[in-house]
Amino acid sequence: MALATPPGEGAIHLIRLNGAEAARIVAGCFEPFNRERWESGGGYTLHPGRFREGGTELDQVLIGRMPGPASFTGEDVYEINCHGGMLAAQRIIAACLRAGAAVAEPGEFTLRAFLRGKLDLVQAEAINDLIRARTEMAADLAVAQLGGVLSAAVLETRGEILDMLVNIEAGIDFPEEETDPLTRAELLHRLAVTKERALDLLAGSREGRVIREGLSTVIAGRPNVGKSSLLNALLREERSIVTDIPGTTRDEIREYVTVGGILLHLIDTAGLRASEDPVEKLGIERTWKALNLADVVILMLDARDARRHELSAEERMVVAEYAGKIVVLLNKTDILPERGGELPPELRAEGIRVIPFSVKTGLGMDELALDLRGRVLAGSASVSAEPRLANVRQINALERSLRALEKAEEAMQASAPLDLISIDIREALEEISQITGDAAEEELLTEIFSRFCVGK
Amino acid sequence: MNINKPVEYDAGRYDVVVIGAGHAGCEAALAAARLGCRTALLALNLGRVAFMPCNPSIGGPAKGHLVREIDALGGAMGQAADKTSLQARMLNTGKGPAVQALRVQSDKAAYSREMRRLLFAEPNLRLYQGMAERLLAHGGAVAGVVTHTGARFTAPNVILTSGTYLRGRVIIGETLYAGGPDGEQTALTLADDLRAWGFRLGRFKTGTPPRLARRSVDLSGWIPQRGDAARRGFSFLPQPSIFWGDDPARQELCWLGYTNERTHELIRANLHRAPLYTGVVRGVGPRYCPSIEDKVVRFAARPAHQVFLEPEGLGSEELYAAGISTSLPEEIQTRLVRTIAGLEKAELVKPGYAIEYDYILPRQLTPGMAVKECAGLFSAGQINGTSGYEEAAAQGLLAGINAARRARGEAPFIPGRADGYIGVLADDIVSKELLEPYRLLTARAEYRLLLRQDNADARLTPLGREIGLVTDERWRVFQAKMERREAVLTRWEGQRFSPRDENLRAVLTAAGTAMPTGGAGAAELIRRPEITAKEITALMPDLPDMPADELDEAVTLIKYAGYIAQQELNVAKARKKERRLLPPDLDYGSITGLAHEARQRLREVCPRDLGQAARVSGVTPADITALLVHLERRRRDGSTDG
Repeated sequence: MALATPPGEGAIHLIRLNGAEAARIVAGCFEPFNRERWESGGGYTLHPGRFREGGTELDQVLIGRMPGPASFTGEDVYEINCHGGMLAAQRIIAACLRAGAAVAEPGEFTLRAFLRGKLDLVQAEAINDLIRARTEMAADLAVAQLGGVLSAAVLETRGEILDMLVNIEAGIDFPEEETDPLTRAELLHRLAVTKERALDLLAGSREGRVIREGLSTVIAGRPNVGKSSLLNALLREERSIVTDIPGTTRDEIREYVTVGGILLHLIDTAGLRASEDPVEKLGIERTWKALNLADVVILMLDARDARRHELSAEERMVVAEYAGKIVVLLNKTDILPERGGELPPELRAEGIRVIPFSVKTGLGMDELALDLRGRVLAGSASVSAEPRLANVRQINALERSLRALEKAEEAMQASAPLDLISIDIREALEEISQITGDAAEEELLTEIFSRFCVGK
Repeated sequence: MNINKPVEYDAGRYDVVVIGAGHAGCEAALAAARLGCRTALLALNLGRVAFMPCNPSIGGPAKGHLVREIDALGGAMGQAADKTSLQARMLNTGKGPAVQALRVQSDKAAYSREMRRLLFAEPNLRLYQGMAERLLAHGGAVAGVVTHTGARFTAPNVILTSGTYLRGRVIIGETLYAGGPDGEQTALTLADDLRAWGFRLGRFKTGTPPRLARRSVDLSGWIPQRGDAARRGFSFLPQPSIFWGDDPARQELCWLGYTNERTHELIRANLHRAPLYTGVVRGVGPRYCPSIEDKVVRFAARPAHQVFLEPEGLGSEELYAAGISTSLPEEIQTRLVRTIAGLEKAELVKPGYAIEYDYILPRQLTPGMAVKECAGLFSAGQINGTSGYEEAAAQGLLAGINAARRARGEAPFIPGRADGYIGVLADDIVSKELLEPYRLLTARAEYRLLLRQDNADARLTPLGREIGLVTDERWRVFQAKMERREAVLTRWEGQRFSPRDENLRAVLTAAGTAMPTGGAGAAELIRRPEITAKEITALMPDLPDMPADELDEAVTLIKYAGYIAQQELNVAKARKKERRLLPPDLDYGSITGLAHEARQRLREVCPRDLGQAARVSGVTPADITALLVHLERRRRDGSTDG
């Protein structure tokens, strides 16, 4: 399953479901207005109706049905047209995931089409690139999540699940050794605690802006140039600490905002300058990391410095490194005397968009919105936007892990033996491991041997 | 080793020659001979075939499952262990049917004698005492073996089962000598010969505890460990023990005691003389079998460690001190043992030791135990980097079957991971990187609920019958059992109980569970946790007569039905991948999109199918996609690149 339209706000979104299970998943959520026509099972037909999960209606949709093997992938294909706005699309995607769908990897539909004999060899040449891209994206994604608060909490929960499983398995494989197995009461207690933690995590991940999504946009610039003011202007709320003391935003601040119909995941960063303050240095390091991962970089310059050709080494570096994804805002243009002077040659290079800007007066805001929108529509920013779906996938993996924990708890309460309970806990571990990307099996054995004194 | 080169002579032509008569070699030779092959078995010492140089016990979690599987396929280990059983215990009885496992203490000498009897009873099998010195080859295929006395055994199939004897080196404190386990000699030249053949060898280490004289210990303060009150055995064809017959009350005892702080202090004070810490030991030892010095260092907070004293045999007068495996100097070992309560006057009969040995990196094998680069050559057992009698026997059985099948021009028998622990074992060692001697664990089986010890026969006896190792008697017993099971399950499916059934009310009340309001089906009642075989018999006194373990198995099938169905679904999914066979001539170097590491590993392992490829250490899902794309491309090209 994948979102086939570019992410962001548009008139409609198209979600494509492909594969043997697609029919079952759609049937479970879709309530057609004309049931008779839907159930007659014709191919290449469109069906209006309601998309539901449980008792909740998520959206009114139009579903196109293209049964295999005539479809373009050679398998059953369902296309769900829903209303624009990422929320509706995300909710439908999440519902399909819960019903058993899996998020398509980049290029997966093409791959399946090829494997089913639907694409020719020339097209297949592109597939190797996709495979490589997938690996690289996975690596990027892993980097993006490392160090995040959420992932630390996930790791901790995973650790607790692993610990329970290690305890059970050590007792099973070394029944007469010194493994000090947990009692059933202890295990039940720990299951309850871990379940609560997973629930909290899940609640946190949905809270507020629901599913964290958007064009990842980094605001960079030297200290006190007005980055946080821009963020606040966009949000119209005071989130970052804005003062006149340079270097106030030492950490990055993340927010979500819709600009010109495009959902932005805005990241305000620590100001770029040479610094000896260890805390500030750390913040600056993070800024560079964020810049590497961003879809769009908004470089904010003081118009007066720019016109005087007084770019700092850091500013020049940002321009050179991220030329392809940079928008330069010349802030404080409103207080610039007359025309000022010519821009430095770096900023006059091909492909660098420079917008005269003023946070205070709102000058240039429309132009910025147009530019961002243009980038999404041109597709230049949407390729790397793909991993964002992984967020939905991660939430879903967490949900499956939680469900497995609940099953384990139920089984415990029903006095089921440990070999059954271990199946559920192992499932919980495998699901949550999909978020962190760690292999569960080898770690399990390593933990058994390092933590317990087993053996003759 | 020979000063003069011996004159070679023709010692005969065989279909299969087996080198080594340990647990792998015995199963291999018996299987090949029973499948009609003219077979020769070469042993360093025919007086010690199927010898147990470590624990005098067979089985335990995963290992006991394996013995049941060997038996179900028509192998020998289960029956030999049952016949020579001193004590039998079902472990993990409270943890569920999937992980219950039998462990049998066997009389070592009797076990060896019993296996020897079986070997000599096989008309197709020739036994010969001698040291294999080199392999013969002809055109990339194995052609036979020459011994150090010049006997030339000509055969198109050779099975290597030489255990820890390859360049064996025994270490006891500062003492080092070339040798095999438990006082045996080592096979020195064969390792060089294998290296010359291009085998990649690794080096592992293992160890054993000291043996004590029974007359010198006072066990009055020790906790006796009894066998089960019920009669237990591995074999699906029950064999009475030659020691306790059918009367479990006559089983031998084992004893549990503990080390103490004085023991640990002594060890800590002498760590500078422990080969493990002085760097003398270079081979990699197993994490699951730490020496007592290792335990004391790594688990410093523990005030005591368990010691189990197990009889080596009824007439042997030796006790095996499980739990204090060590390679400390002999003098320290004696003092160490004597710090333990009741062992103050213990006589050390044999010191504990560490042993290092060469093993064949098993990635060079197929899951049928055949050496990929040399047609007709097989290897099985500890030489493949595994540990344990049971793991060795299972591989030996597999190698024996496949050598015989090759001799008969049949396709190899490759058990799957869903067929049994034997499949898990074979697949693991040829696909994964071994970081230590490989020991089977139930945690390694992804379909653990399907691989129960109670259904090893249902899983494997039909396969064994097809292979030709299951005798008519075993087949008849098996079919009768399956019919009984089927009858009971059918009965339960159809039977309903009325809400006014007074017997039902009485049984349920006694069991502490509520009466179903609208009546209930038998299966529905059996799924209740409070209902056990006892209640079922009370509810249905007219059930066909069947042994208790069979009734338990039928109950398991009902109680666990949901989980079992889920695992069967997972098996079906995995089977899809296993049906995608990988051509053996696939050039992994030329596949675009494969990561460098994956390319190397896949080239080495040469997986049989896509499922195995995905399990190879270092292969990612992206690599599997690249592989899929390549296969499809190759198919369309009409295999012109192959």
